[in-house]
Amino acid sequence: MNEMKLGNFEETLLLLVGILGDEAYAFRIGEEYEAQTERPTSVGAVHSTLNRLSKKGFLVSEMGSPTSERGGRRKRIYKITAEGQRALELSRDFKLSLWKQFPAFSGKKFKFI
Amino acid sequence: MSKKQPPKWATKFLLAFLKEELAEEVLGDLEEKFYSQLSRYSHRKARRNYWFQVLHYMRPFALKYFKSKLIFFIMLKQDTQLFIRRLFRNKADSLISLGSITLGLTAVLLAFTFIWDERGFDAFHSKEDRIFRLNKVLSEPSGERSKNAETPGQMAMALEEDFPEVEVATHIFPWFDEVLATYEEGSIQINNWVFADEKFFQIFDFKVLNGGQPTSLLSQPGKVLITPSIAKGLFGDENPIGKSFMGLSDKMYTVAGIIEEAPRRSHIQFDVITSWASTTGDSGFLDFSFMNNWLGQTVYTYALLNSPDQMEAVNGKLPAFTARHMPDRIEMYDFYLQPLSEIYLQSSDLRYLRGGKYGSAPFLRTFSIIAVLILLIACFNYINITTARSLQRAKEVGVKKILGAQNGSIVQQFLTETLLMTTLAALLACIFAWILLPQINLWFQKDIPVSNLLQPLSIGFLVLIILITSFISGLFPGVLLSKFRPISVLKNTFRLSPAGRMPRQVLTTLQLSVGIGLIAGTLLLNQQFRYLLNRDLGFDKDQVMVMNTPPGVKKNLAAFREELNALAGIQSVSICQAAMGEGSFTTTVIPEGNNNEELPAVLFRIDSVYLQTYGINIVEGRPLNRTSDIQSPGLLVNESFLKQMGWAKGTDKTIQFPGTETRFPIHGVVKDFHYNSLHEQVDPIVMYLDNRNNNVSVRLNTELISGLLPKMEQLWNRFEQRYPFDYYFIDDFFATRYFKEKEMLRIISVFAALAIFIACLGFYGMVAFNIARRKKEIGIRKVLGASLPNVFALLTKNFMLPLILALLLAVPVSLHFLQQWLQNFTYHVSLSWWIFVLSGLLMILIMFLTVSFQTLKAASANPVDSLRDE
Repeated sequence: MNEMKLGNFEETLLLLVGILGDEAYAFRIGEEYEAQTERPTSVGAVHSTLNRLSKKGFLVSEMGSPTSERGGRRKRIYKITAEGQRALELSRDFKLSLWKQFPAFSGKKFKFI
Repeated sequence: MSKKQPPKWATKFLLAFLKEELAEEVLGDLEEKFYSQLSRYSHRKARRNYWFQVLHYMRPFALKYFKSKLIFFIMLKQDTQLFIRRLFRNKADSLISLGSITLGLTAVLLAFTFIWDERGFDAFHSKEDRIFRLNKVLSEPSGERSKNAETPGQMAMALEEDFPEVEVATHIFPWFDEVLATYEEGSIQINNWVFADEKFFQIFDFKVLNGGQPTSLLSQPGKVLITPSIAKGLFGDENPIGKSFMGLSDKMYTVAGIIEEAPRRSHIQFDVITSWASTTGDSGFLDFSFMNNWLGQTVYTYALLNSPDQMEAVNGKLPAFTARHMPDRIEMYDFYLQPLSEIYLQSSDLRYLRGGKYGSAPFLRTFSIIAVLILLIACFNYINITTARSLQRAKEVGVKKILGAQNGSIVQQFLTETLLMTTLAALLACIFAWILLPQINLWFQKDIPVSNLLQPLSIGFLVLIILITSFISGLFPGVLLSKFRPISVLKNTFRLSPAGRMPRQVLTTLQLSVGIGLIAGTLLLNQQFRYLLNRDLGFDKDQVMVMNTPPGVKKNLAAFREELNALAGIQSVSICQAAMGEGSFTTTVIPEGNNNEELPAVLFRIDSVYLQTYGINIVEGRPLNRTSDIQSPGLLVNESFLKQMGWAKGTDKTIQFPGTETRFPIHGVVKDFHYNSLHEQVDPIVMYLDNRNNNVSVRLNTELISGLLPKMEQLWNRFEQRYPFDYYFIDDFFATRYFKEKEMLRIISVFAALAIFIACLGFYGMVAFNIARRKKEIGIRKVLGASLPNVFALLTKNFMLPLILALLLAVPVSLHFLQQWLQNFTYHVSLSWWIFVLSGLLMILIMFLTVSFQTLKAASANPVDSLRDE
């Protein structure tokens, strides 16, 4: 099923949402992405991808309660759905199966030419 | 919190495009991002980053208008589909509107390409804005003033010395006619044999391909630069550098280098450039003193100024310059500078231009006006038909509105349709223009490359026309119809107001008047052209042919003349310097009783049978006699000479030549004849017997020229080995003088026909529309007893008012323009009233032919057919 396929950026964001838990909102996810991958991104790009993942049903979101930070504006907090979790597992299993199919990677004699 | 805040403008911008429901979270996120940046980097960098983040929110999911945009595209697809269906359903309709606008755009695209090409000649020189040509106004004692570009050979050097503003000055001299070049066995004809000095390359950007530094190539006598095509023709595949060939005056010229052909859009054209040093006489090569003194007026002088704005300063000092160097001509010559950019187009008032390419600004103006008229007719037509048809679509609009269409999407539909139609027409026009361009090149004697059709400028021009036309023809009905209440439309209580017809009536009137004006112009041009061709030139121009006398014939002139005279079909043979169209030249003479003042006159050096050969009549005195008038020379003058001097009689007067003491008696006066073209006045002429023998003029007395020519060629070849048999007929020569008029006649005729055809298409469409709309009405009228003429009148009377108004409008406007145009000719027909009557009648006739077929068909149809179904 094509709908279950995840892009690289999508997969990373999905994982980050899981890692960040209650702190999973666009700005924070973007910061975490930059910190962990050391690649630059923009809030807009993150937001757009989160939006897409929500449409696919991998994420749900709701507005958090207002805080004194950021001018009292609320955040949109994302959570992984069961569907999203399944997509992540599929992606992981697929990659593991690829690793297993290649003996040189799975064994200990890991050697580049 | 510190005062450092996200840039306000960025936030405003963000809110302008961002979906409202996203505003809160996004603003919050971006603010956090901003302060996080601020904690690490400078304020400026954080602000820049904020802008960057804002711009990165321009994504489909976040855009406010994206949803409605989608509707736009869906509707666009739907409208396109509807358009294509309508296009094929109403084939005749589509053909008429598509056809007329396509024709119009084709004509305009071609005209635009042509006009663009005519402008911007000589712009390729890097010093283009600082280059000027020296022209002069020649004032004759008679008060007549004319312009030419002829200057003395000393001019360039003196300019450089006398004027600090002049950086470099040079001169060129295109030889009078073709030159034969011979290398070993082969000969080719060289059309543009030009003399120039080494400074030529300091001013102009013509490229020397090989041979060395251009400045040193032209410093020695007998050296030439030739173009690659001449090199190929003369030397084939051999290396031409250093080779010698026989050229002008049978001298040997050595090729010093190869020069690239002059660009297509250069007024200076050359095949061979000969070093000026060849002409000075001290080299013992050619001795052309007329090119190197202050007297001869044959050389074209160009100056490179230090800056373009010094033109006025130099012009102001030129009279003093003339007084210094040519004190005896200060009254006659008034020199002035002409900028290089104006030379090509603005030189049609200059006389005696040799060599090079010249356009004509008046012609270009006429042509542009016609092109604009065509465009107007085509656009009016399209707008007319489209709006008329669209207004009939009220029901369709009503249904659409009931189904929830908004006013905007109705307007959009009409705009889409007209835009698609005009774009389609523009594409077709490009294809047609591409097919027709070679023909246009042939007519105009141009060589515009096909790629010029699609340069950015003409594409932009087309797009502009498309947009304007579609906007007018789509917006008007679209807006009008979208305003109607759908319920009244569907209940059939809806009526179009008569005000909706007003603009169409106006457009039809304008179309008709343009049509009438163009017909009148074509008729007048035709009349003028015929007048020029058939006007009495003062001599018998038919059946006279002229050959240049080649060296082989010159050696055995008497024998050649005798054998030529002996051929059957030849009436008389005149061998002398003067012919018609060449051999005569302007100089000055001192007539008796003129206070020793010089009078410019055209000198004809003739032989005793010259007058007889050309059929020139003597009005007073006697012709010149071969034996007696050579021993004690006498002269002939023409009537203009008498008129100029105010003499009643010529045969009792004498004439003196400047620099000599002898007074020559006038033996006779010849009738005025035109020796060049009817554009110019007949100047005073002086004729005398002379042994010079450059031209052979032959009068034939047979219609069987085809039988005679081979015999003449045989004879020629017996006397002359080097030059091929070459001749021209005088009537052809005069016909080519009117090339411009002929060109104009053809173009105006074609364009006028096109304009009228497009207008007819429009009428046809309008009538068809009227008939379809009033089908039932016609049926009812017929049932009630209306006759065929009744119905015919009913259907055509719509056109009567525009027609009358058009006549009233067209006559004064075209009268004005045509009268102005006629002023270009010294001898012209007078503008007569019948031209306008005839063009009006023709327009009416054409219109009735266009509409009558359909109208008659509708009027004679069986009313039952139109009334049966309700």
